[in-house]
Amino acid sequence: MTKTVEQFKDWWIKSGRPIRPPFKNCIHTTDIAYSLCLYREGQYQVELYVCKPGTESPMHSHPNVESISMYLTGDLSFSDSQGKFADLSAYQCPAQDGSHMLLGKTADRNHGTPHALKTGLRGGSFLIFEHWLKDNPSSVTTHWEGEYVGPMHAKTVEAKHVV
Amino acid sequence: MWSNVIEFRQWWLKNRPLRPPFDQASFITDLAYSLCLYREGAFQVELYILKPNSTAPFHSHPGVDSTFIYLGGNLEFGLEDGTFPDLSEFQKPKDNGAHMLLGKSADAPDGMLHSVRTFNEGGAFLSFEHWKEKEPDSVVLNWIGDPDGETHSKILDQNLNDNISERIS
Repeated sequence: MTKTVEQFKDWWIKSGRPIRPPFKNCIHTTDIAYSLCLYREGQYQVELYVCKPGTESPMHSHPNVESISMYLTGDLSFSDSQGKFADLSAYQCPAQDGSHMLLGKTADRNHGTPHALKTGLRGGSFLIFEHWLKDNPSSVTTHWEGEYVGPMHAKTVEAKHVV
Repeated sequence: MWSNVIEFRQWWLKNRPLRPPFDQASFITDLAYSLCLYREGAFQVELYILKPNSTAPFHSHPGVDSTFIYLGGNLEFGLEDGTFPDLSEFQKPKDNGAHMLLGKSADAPDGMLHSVRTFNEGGAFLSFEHWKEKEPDSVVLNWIGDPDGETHSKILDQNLNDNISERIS
């Protein structure tokens, strides 16, 4: 039985990365990213985000959601709670198998604390494993405290565009 | 290795490896964000996430055999005759909470006209592809038909220019 977001992440990978998007609230779109919930079970889910190039989100948080982000490809980085981004430029190169050198690397676990995301010219994609401590899982796109990334994001949050 | 796109699809769905390439992994058009989840030789699988209430013009992908797997949301694939099947009766969840259409497939063999449209919920699908004439990049680049919109048009123009430059050099 999964009890922490780390355990959920490890279980999902070990179980062969099951893909079972929920009927409800699986797709969300904003001005800078589109997301799909790949799998949801109880209070846990994993979402996949594809982000457009050359963007940066405002600082924001997802209250009562513990999360771990896992790098897939592209040129993206997450900030710490002070808004400071790690310099990952040394890792912007392919591994021997043609994937990104950072594939599978994870960011520090986030406990609902403020952070931001920025992408370079190649955009970026990542998985985010989530443990929703209070609310029913939907998407961290809509469960968002902070300035929105743009009008499309505001519309998605306000209208709960995807129901 | 696989001899056709159906074999590749079966293999990938059984193993589900996530290994996006470093190069040419992600594309953004007016309608969709895509990510190549896995590429090996002449085969790849791309994930497409489509925004709500959109329709792609009918188009084809020359030299590419494609087969699509439904993931979620509310989308319909347009048929070669220019019509869309009415899937509204399947817009409901299964007992496990997934969409009733999860895992259902639609095929678009080399050159066959097709389209996709979404409703309020947006849509997501996997595109399994066998590239028979050139190295794989994305079917949003290898596109015959009207583009999705201005962004897609720019991408297609740029790709054409890049190919011309490569041929000249």
